[in-house]
Amino acid sequence: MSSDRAGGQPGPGGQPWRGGQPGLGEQPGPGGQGASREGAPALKIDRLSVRYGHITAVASVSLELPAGAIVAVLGANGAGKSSTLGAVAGSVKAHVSGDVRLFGERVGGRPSHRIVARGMVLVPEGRRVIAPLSVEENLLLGAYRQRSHKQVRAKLGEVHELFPVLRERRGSPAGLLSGGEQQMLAFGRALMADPRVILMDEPSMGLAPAMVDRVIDAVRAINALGKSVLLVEQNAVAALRVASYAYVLDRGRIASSGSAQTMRSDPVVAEVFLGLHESASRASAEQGPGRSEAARS
Amino acid sequence: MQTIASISSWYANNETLIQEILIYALLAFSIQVALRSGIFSLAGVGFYAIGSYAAGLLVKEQAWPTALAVIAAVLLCALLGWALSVLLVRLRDLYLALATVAFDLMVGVVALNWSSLTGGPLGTVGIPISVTTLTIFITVLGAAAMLALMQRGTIGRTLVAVREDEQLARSLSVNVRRYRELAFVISSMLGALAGAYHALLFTDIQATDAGFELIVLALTMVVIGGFGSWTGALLGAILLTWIPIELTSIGQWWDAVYGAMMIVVATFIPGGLISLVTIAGRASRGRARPSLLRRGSAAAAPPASSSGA
Amino acid sequence: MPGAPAAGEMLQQLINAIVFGSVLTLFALGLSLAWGTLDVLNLAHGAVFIFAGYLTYELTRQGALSFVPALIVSMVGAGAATVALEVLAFRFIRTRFANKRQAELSMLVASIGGAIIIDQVVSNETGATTFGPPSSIFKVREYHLTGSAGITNIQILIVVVAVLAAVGLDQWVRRSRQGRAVRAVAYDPVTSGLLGVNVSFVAISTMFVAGALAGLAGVLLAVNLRAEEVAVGQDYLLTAFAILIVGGVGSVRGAVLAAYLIAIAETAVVAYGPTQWRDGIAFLLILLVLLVRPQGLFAKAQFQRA
Ligand SMILES: Nc1ncnc2c1ncn2[C@@H]1O[C@H](COP(=O)(O)OP(=O)(O)OP(=O)(O)O)[C@@H](O)[C@H]1O
Ligand SMILES: [Mg+2]
Repeated sequence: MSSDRAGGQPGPGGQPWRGGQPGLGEQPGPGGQGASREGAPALKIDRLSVRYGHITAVASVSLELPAGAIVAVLGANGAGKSSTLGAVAGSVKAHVSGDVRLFGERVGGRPSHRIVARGMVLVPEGRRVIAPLSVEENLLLGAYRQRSHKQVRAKLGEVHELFPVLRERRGSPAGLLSGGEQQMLAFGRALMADPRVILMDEPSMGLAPAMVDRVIDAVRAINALGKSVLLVEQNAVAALRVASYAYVLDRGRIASSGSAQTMRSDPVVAEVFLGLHESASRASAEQGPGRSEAARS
Repeated sequence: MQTIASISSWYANNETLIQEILIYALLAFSIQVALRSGIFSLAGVGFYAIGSYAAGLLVKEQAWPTALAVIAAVLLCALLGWALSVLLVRLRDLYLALATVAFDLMVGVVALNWSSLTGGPLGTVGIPISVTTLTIFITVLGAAAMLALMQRGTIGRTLVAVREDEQLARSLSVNVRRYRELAFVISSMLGALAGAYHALLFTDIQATDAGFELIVLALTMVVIGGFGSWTGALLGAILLTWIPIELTSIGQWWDAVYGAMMIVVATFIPGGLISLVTIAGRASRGRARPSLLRRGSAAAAPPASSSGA
Repeated sequence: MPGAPAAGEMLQQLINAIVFGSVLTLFALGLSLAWGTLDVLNLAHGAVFIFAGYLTYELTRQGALSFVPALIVSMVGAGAATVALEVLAFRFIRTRFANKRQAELSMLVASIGGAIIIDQVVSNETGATTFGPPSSIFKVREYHLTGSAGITNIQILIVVVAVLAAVGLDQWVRRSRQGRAVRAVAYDPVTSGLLGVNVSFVAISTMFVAGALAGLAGVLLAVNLRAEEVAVGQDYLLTAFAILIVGGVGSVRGAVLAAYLIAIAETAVVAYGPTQWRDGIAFLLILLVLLVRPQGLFAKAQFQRA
């Protein structure tokens, strides 16, 4: 029922940004068919739909994350961002259809712990630290699938290097950290699994502007470690500072997409995200994708 | 003529079963009314014990008229139920369940030790038979009518709000405590009624009558039947009184079959067996008169707004 | 020496209390683990406990197995019975029921169904009378202490095993990789899955450990008493409720302290007080503690919800 049209999607076919990213040397071609392949994109989502009972939260969304890139997904409240990430990471309780490939390997439909084992980790919305466990225990939990004690210690060292605050507060219950510190813990915990791809769900949510900058710096640092990052955000200004490419999600469909540079000057994005967040996003929800497509062409 | 004769002989053969079903229905109502209001209280069983002693002793020792003794027992339990609800006001869910189980069992221990009043381990025996099946039947009807009223209208919706979201109910300036106390008190009174009738019909009371087995049975009736409405509790009371008797004929494994049915219903039929009846009823009505169904459900929806004021 | 017999008698009562408390500890640890991590109040725990005693009786009465193999097989059997409930019922209820309160209720009733089945199997196979393994499988020796007091080797074994199991479980939950996962699942199963934890495996292994602990308690009690019956399981279950409430759900240390405390109180009432009030102690404790301190008397729990 949801395969009616790909019209919500911009650009030619399912390859919205071919050649559109100047900064990426290892720009891939279309995703491979078989198991993990060198040239395949880190993550390729093809016609993903998510339904909760009668409610369709995500309708035939396709997007690509090139290896080593940071790609942003922007959208207002309820646009379907978390549903998309949850479906990709295997954690939503919903009816999911579509194809998800990680470096060319099919991972759609697997339970979340299997997906972690394949090298993709979700940093969930609202950080979701395990409050009663200590900071260090949270980090060790991130390395749950790693049985070698030595390697876990080495990873812990790397994460402490990146986020010194996690070393300072290692013994205190994670629930007592500040929001920003908890976000660092959530990042650190994801890195402990040594993933190739990290999905981030609104890491800047509820943080003061100074802290948002630190989060963005952290995203850049994580990317510098070689991790491909799919960054979901409502804070478009912040996200477009690190991302090379961006999609706009509106009511479960891709409403527009383009390189970060074009998106920064995109009138829809400007109106929806760069102005007054709250009121503007509501306005876009009312006007819908038709308008955003019109604005693009 | 013949049918009347066969009905009356069937009734004579099954009178005890019918009496048990009616009394268990009252007990099941007692648990159901609490669960439906989001109160995981099993205190009804303790009040079953208190009610049976109170009514039984008043009739036997003080020679009170039956009606007065039953009313006194029910009022006593209403008062005690209110006091218990005040004491346990902070508890929720499994903790409340355990506290009320402890209360029930404590009633049994006290009854066992208070020999001068209850006869202790010997029990209270020789209570005159002083109620008829018809009286109990009418009481069950009355209780069902009251519960049906409580499921509707403002009270019904408020109780649902209190169950589903206490914070929300509070923010709508519902006095959550009052409603919880009300449900608790009604539950206590229904439990007391069941106990009182049991004592006055079956003439003796043992301190172990209202033990853990009865708690488990009452809870099972309500969950298997469906705690969403009084009809579910009634269905549970009928089935769980009747099925064990039927299953005895299949030999020594009947208990295992019974246990397996409990697992299956608890796991796969969240609304209880009554939900199957409802679905089946809706389906057959739907096939017969599809247009009526639509109107019927449209008419079913409004009560939320029509009786809102 | 008028005081000596009294002192010997008191020592004997204390020993009895400690042995009883040890069995209670083993019993309550599993119940507490399941509730503390998976929100299951498993009413089949008492039946599983008796089931393990029955398995040992069945395995040893024709001299088929000796004590240790029979103990191990019975513990595995008890663990497997509990896992069966998890796989057939609890898991579905947990994933399909959105409402947590209704899930708790349904799991409670499903576990009652499990208890009924297990009880029926045991009483059918034993003719619904008391049963126990033959005395030959464990050579009981009694060591005399002062006065009339004495302690047997099986009693010593029970105490040592209970202490080891409690310390082991405490350390497992607090320090091991798997124990960390158990605590994480207790707090937030969805996020635990996102961290790579196989949540249904953790649930199954937790239920297995819980059942095996009940089995351990059941076998040791069977060997010690050599006369068990189905009804005993329920007595232990009701007492264990009090242990959970007094010690705090999910707390290993609280459970141990509460188990010995209740064992001593019950033994003292039976020996010196109004015997008939014995059962009342547990129920009174549940009510009092819940009235005063709903989180349990003893400090923070190790794997309790925050
Ligand atoms: N478990 C659920 N059951 C039913 N509907 C859901 C569920 N989760 C999400 N939805 C619906 O799906 C739509 C998309 O929700 P989603 O959480 O994916 O949005 P989002 O873009 O992440 O929003 P936000 O910025 O607020 O986090 C919403 O309309 C929401 O109401
Ligand atoms: Mg979201």
